[in-house]
Amino acid sequence: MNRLPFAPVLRRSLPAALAGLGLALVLSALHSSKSPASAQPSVDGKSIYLERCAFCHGENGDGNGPVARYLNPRPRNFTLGQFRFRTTASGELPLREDVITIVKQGVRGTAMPRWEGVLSEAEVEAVVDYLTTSFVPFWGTYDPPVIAIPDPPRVTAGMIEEGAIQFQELQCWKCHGEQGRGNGSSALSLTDETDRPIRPADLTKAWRYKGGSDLVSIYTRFSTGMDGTPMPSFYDVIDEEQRWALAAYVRSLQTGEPSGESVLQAAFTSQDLPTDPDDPLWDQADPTSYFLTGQVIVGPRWQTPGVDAVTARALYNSTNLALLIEWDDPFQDTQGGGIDVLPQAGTYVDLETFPQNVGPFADGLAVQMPAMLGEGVAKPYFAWGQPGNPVNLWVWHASDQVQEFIGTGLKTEPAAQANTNVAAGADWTDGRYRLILTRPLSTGDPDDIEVKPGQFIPIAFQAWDGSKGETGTRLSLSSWNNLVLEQPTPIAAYLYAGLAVLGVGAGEWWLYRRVRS
Amino acid sequence: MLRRASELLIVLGVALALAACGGGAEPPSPSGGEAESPPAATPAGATISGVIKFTGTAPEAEPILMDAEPICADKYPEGAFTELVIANSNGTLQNVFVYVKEGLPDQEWPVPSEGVLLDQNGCRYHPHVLGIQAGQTLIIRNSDGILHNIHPMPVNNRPFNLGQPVVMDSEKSFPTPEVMIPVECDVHDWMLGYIGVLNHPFFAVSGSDGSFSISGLPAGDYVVEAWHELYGTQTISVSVAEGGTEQIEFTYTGS
Repeated sequence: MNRLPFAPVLRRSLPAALAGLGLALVLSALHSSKSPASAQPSVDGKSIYLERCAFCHGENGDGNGPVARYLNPRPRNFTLGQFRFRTTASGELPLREDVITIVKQGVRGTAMPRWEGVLSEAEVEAVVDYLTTSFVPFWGTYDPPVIAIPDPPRVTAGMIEEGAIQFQELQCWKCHGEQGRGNGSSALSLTDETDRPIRPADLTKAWRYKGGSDLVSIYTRFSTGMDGTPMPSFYDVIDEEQRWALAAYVRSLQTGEPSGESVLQAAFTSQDLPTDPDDPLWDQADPTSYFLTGQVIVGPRWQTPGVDAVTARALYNSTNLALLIEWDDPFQDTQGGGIDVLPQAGTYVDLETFPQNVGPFADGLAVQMPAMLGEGVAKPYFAWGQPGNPVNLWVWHASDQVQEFIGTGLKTEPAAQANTNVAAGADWTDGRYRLILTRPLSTGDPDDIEVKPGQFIPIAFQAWDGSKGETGTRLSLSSWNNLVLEQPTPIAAYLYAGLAVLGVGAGEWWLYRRVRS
Repeated sequence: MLRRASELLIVLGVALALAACGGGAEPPSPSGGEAESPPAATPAGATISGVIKFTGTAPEAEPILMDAEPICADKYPEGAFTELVIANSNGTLQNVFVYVKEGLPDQEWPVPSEGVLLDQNGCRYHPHVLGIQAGQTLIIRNSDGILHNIHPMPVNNRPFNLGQPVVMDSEKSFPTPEVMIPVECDVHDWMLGYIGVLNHPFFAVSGSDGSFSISGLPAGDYVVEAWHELYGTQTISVSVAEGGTEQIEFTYTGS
């Protein structure tokens, strides 16, 4: 296997990188624990910057701090003077307030944490004044023209319809895709202000709108454009009413945000299980969505996964269980078997040198269940199990068929089972996979568990996005959730309930009569 | 559908034009692409003209895949090719930006009231290389009627990135001299153009015969620079007498 030219560099910078990521984690922990802001009598923007910001943004504000190469998107390079989230016209500097807002709110889906509650108002202002006046070209030399954001109207169905027309006419789909899944024809060739690849937002994922997924934020983004990205300003092209309509439409595309519900309820049907994702029988199964995160347990740790959520439905009949799993992947990668040259170092993947020269890898999805179930059996480790407590993996790849594996942890390659009892059928349309996996409730295979109604069966999901360079342990994964096959309610249950109601009624009547007499 | 910023630009442009008229004859618009020289700033000025020679072999132009945009693809029955190096059949080089870099008297040169046109036609910029004066109106036209975003990437000026989804014009200007500003369209990653911004009108772009001409110069000693997007810059020092003409010649060498 080829040794990578960057491997020595990686090894040398390993301690720094780990320290940096550690610091980032500590910083986010600080935020989540809501530690009170230290009230200092005098606020020094520079020392706050060096303490809190420089690790990512660099001491010189060039966005090239020690951990920058592990982050995607990269930390902002202030010296370029291009800012995404502004209330000013395209290409103009942001207002001081715009920068303060971003520092306070953070940027969702990126390494930029929310500093409100960590830094005091005065500290935020001091650090913003420090970084803008020290690093940002043109800062303070002129008054940037502001794009006025009026009060939003009440969203109506008509507005959303009008917005859909605007989405077509402005050709937003050329980058964002017809369904807004970030899979437009120009999506793959886009680059940012530093010529690094950048992908358009998947507009169906509210949690991926970096500048906010609410109506006003969407309106603001396409009015001002997002400087440093390919996203232009459309302010001169449509009027205010059309802009609100477009914002309302884009907002209406948001769907499937995982709610935190962990139980996947499989509905019973007496019919044959559907093999077509469009089969109306699926409407009987409640969709449940789960977040996936990058695999950062074993090296190389994968911090920027492609698939960050899946939506699952489950149906079963007297003999089989079927899962319909849907996830967004803007580009279909069916060719597998590519070369992976990443060193198996215990560090994060260096994004400056990845994913060049690897692949091709096929997209994939895995469903994970314990290999053993029962009283006294502990749940295996959520990521491919552990030695002595394995998991059963149903691994589907776009390049070939589904296969069952036994996983005993991320450090060992999963072993193929002798028999695969799972059948798969997949469809990729306009940036979305729909995969149906079907398995008998009882396979008779000693490597598989038996799936029984009423039981809580741990279930987890894992995904690979081939064109993001994902293969093997470079994947995204969910935590354990539970699959429950709803027990069909027996007629007797209704009978007993009715009898109970009658009984209570009769008793009350008797009491009433007694009191009256 | 112009808004405040562009209206302001027009007002500014008119005001500058009026100021310019006070100083003498109003010059017509300079433009790039063809071997047109900017007009005389002083009536009987001196001229520096010449040719951009090219020796060696130019890299082969690469075909551009425009399948996603049939409106553009249809404009090239024989296929569209990259414009990185356009060597003319007479041994000269096209799209070289030539300008007076040093030696001009310290004075303000009137900004032409007429704008310079940058046309997006066939998913390409016309002209590929253009010159404009600082503060002069740049008319950005979408002739294709499909989505383009006009996205210049300056260093000394502020950038901008405007979506143009229909046949339309937008107006912008660059306040600060800068040679050169790349212009891109993110929707069509092959689209690339260059804008040279100067605070005087003494520039030209070599055309299909490789020639250029800069006229209306006061007598003086000048450094003239030629810029090519692949082959870089060259300079020549030249002195011109009042009303005189000097010939210079740049030579670029391919592989």
